[in-house]
Amino acid sequence: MNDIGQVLVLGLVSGGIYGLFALGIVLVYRGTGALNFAQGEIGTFGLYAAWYVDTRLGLPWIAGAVAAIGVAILLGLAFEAAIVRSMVEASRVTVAVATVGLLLFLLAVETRYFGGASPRPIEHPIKASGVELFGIVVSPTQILALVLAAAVGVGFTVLLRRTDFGLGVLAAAQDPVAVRLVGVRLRRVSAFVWGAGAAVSALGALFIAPTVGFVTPGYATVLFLSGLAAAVVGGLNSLPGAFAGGIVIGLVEATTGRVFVDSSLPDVRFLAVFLVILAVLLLRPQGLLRAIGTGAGAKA
Amino acid sequence: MRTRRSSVLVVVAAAACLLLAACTGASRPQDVDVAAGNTDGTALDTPTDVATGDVPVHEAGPATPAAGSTGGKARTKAGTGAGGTGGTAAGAGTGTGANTGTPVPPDSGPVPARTALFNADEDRVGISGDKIVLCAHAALTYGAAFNTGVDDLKVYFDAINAEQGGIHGRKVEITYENDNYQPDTAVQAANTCKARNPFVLLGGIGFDQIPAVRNWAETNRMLYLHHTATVNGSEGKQFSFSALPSTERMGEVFGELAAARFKGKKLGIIKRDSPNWDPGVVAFKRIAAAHGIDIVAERAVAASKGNYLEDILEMKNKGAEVVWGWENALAATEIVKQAKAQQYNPTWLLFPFNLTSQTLGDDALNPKLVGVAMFTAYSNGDYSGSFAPYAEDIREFERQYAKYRPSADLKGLGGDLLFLNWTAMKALHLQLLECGPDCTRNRFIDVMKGYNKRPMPAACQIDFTRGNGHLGGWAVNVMETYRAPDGRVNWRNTDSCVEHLL
Repeated sequence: MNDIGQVLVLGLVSGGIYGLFALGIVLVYRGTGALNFAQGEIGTFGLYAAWYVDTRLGLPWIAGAVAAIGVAILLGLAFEAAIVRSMVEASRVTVAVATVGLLLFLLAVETRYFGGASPRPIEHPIKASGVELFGIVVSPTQILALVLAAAVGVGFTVLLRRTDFGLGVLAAAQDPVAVRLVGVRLRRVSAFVWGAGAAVSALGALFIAPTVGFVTPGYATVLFLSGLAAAVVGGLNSLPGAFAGGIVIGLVEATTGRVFVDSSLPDVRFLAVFLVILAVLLLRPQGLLRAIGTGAGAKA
Repeated sequence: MRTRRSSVLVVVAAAACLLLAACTGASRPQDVDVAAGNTDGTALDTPTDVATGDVPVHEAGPATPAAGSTGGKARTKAGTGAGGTGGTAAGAGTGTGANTGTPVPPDSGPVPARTALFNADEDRVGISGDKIVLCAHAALTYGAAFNTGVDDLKVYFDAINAEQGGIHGRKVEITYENDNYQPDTAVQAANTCKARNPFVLLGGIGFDQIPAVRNWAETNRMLYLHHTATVNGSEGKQFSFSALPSTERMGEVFGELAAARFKGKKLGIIKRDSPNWDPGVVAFKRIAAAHGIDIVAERAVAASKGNYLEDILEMKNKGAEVVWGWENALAATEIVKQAKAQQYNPTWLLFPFNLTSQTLGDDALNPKLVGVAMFTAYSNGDYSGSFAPYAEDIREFERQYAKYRPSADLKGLGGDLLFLNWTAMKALHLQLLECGPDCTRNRFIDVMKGYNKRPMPAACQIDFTRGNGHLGGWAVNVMETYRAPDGRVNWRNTDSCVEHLL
């Protein structure tokens, strides 16, 4: 019973973070049709900004968090303006490749200017002791991350489904030319999507980092992979699916880690996650919570 | 008749003289040989050996070899290599005989080296009339984590160059290449070093990097002096040497520590998932099995894993009261930190770095962390207690840094790292002095292979005469955390230069 309880707790805690990253991935995908492979590293870059503000400037955590989110948004907007905007007619695969370039650029900058691979400490936003569930102490930060992931998912879902702007975002991914013809300002939509996606990534990185305790180059890109898995499992067209997918991936990882605790197979958890992705793609490629339709009226 | 008798007497007298000369000699060959570094048992007649004042090993060494050890359980007082830095140069760890830094030039020509590993063209690479070139591969990429940079590592030889004119009139030029804590990039770093034509390549900390570079050194005929590594794969390697205990040895002593102090307690292991780290675990388990230690949990973790929650839970769920963290300082710090967040407080057995103790602060005292190291403890400004036997070395270290690198953070996270690098450099200096003015690579190997002494108070006995002549480190230091006079939590020796704890 304790094992099951611990698996549930572990799954939910990590699932919440994966859900946040998945939300960002799905948001960008829904808005542009492209996968952003730099999604995680944008979060890492934001974390370095937070570390700098907290540690070097001695400011409180909240100032670092604002800096992290602000830097991430600026990065997203800059990438959109400089690269994505000029690729409006290009294929989505081309845009995805460009995001790989952004990922490599960010890794290089972090390594060069933030002390190489040396870990930089990250503090908890809430320093109170946590709640013990089935022998696991769940920190307030982790609980907040789970709540935040759900809130962000709901918020974006409402935005995209209930507002004209949101519908314009959804439509832009389907047919950017047609969207412009009906008066939707494509640049504004594109900037929103990339900026919001970056902000969500920074949020995810901010709330997982204290659990690990430090940030290093490439730190959140590893989490991005789990987030991508969550997005695929939940459905790349579904924001609620992204959150649900995060929980599923979190539970799969936790269960595998517990069941195969004595396994000599390296990283058996990742193997399990990839098997889940494979199964979903083969059996239900639209994801567990598929979007209804694929036109402009598709639910987020 | 009278002439024949005289002739017989002369012959008998001559025979008697010859017999007497053969029996007495100048000294016992093996004493002088051992002290001066010869291994083939031949009597020495080199002015260098005599001039450096080498004496039999039991009289050699710095002022307080015995005082350096505090444990009553040590079988020997042998020494570790003075080398082995946290991220920099290797355990060069040797030194001259009784003196710790005052060479006496030879007064006759050089003696041919007994070692013939390097040919004539190779023998003098990296050493000229006015310069010795050294190059090291080290995990510079983690320097920032220890608040240290490359220039912080060069202070010892900066001081020697400035104050003593170098070694036998040769200025020491040392450079560092980043091995990124990875085997492949370590080999790249070694190649970069090779292009500088160094006299010797130094290998910094890295259980995974060193075996790779050791193989490279063999192929590239590079004299390689490295930090602790597994002996697996070292068989037959001619070009590599280490004055520090092997990975296996470290695991063995950790096992003895567990048996000596924590017998009857449930023990868990969080270990690095690497074939180069595993030999330490094998050695640990052998000792554990022999002494009835109950290992209740064991988890292998990837390098830089980051999130150790599941591993910690495994230890906690299985009730491990003592956990051996067979990982590097950065990972160990995170493991303990994350365990504290889970309100799990076993006794931790770790590699003892001030990075860990200072980062954890009071958490490193409740309970105290316990460690085993191939280097000695350092706590800035503390010359008392277990630091007293090598306070002289500490003061010299601090004096040099105050003069040549005042910005170095000796009080902080990397102070002990800089000290162990400094002791390594000093030991290497002493060894190069012993090599003499006509030092070559072959002669340097001669010095190493016959080396059996304690180079300085901050180092332990180094004995290359045991084993195959390529491994000189056998003793370690056992440490615990404590609150230093300046309020920081650092490490201090509890047992110095011990080979066994049981």
